[in-house]
Amino acid sequence: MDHQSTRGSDKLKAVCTSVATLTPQQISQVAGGVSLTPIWWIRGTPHPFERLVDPGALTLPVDKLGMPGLR
Amino acid sequence: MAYTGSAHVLQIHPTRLCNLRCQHCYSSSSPQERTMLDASVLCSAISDAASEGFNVLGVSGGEPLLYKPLPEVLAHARQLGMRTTVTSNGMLFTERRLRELQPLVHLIAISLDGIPASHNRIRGSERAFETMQAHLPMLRASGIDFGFIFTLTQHNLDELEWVAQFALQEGAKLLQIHPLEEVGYAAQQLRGKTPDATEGAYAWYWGQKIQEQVGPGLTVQVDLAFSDTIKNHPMLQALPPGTTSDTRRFAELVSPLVIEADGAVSPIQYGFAPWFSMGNLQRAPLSALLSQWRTQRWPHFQRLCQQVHTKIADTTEPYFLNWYDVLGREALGVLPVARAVNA
Repeated sequence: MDHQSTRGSDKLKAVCTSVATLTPQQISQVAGGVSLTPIWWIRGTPHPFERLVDPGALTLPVDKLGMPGLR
Repeated sequence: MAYTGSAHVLQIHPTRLCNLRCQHCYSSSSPQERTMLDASVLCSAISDAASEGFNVLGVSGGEPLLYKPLPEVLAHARQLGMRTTVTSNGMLFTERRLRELQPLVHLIAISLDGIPASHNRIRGSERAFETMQAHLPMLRASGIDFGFIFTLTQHNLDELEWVAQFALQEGAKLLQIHPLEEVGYAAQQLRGKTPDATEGAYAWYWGQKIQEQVGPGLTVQVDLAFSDTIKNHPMLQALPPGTTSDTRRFAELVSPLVIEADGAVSPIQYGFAPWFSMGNLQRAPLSALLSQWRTQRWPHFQRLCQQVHTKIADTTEPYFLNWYDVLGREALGVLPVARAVNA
């Protein structure tokens, strides 16, 4: 596998079955089912402050599609 | 505008001098660059920014540790009540330098571009990873919170889990995943490597799974917006009807605000479309630049944000996007229209 020309997600799928079964559309469905923090993150500036205020803000119920856990 | 919650960010690049010349560097920094801003100019601008409501100072570069007055600038921001972050390659820490920074910095972010071989290739240095890693015990001992910034390309998502485990083992508090933008050196050396919507979707998902895996001690931050979130929050990109820019502090209109090493001031990101530039600190204080921009450019900028919002909202299939990159690209196309409006 040519590391420089293959998609990172394809290389990930090759070693992680939980990702291999997902399509981008399914991921969007999951994302659409949760309340994402509407903050646009900033290039070159770490921005932990909002998250530190509410550390649970991005905890996602990603089991909506019955997805398996990490390998 | 760009919505950054209650954090209104002033990002400064005091110098483009760097000990490395990284392929993805958006500011085209290198050991040969000597562009540097005087600390008094920066401190004056920070004061003006604070009075306009900016409450976070992010110091980037170049390598900030090569900017000798860094403690002076950070101390000034802290005196004004700002929170402070410094983005570094992590290779130049010394005990003395960290002792100086410890009371002044809320968080140091270290660039980490993948497994050691990838990191070194992108940074053009065979010792970049090894040297950075060797400095981490010193950083931990200093007591300064730190995190890592991983630049996501079209080809490296598979390295993220390794990076997360490394960050966890080293005691980092933050793992920031930021998509590559083809600006600066990246425009020449990494053309076509920006992650597309498919990679963005998997990156977002994988970021959430890694967050579950590592637990709350390490915050995993994926710098991607979701189109449905933008669609459902129109107030995030424009002022509510009936309000005017005159009644708002500048930080509520534009965040981040960016000061480049040559004194240029831009909205949103380094190198943003020049027509939207606020001007240059070498010619006028920040307060004057912002005042002029508010009357001359803000209406166009607001229209730009609305155009981008409409485009995103009109797409039928939801997707993940880099809001800043989309805004920056759209801004480049605004120039003829804006000129026509001003004529």
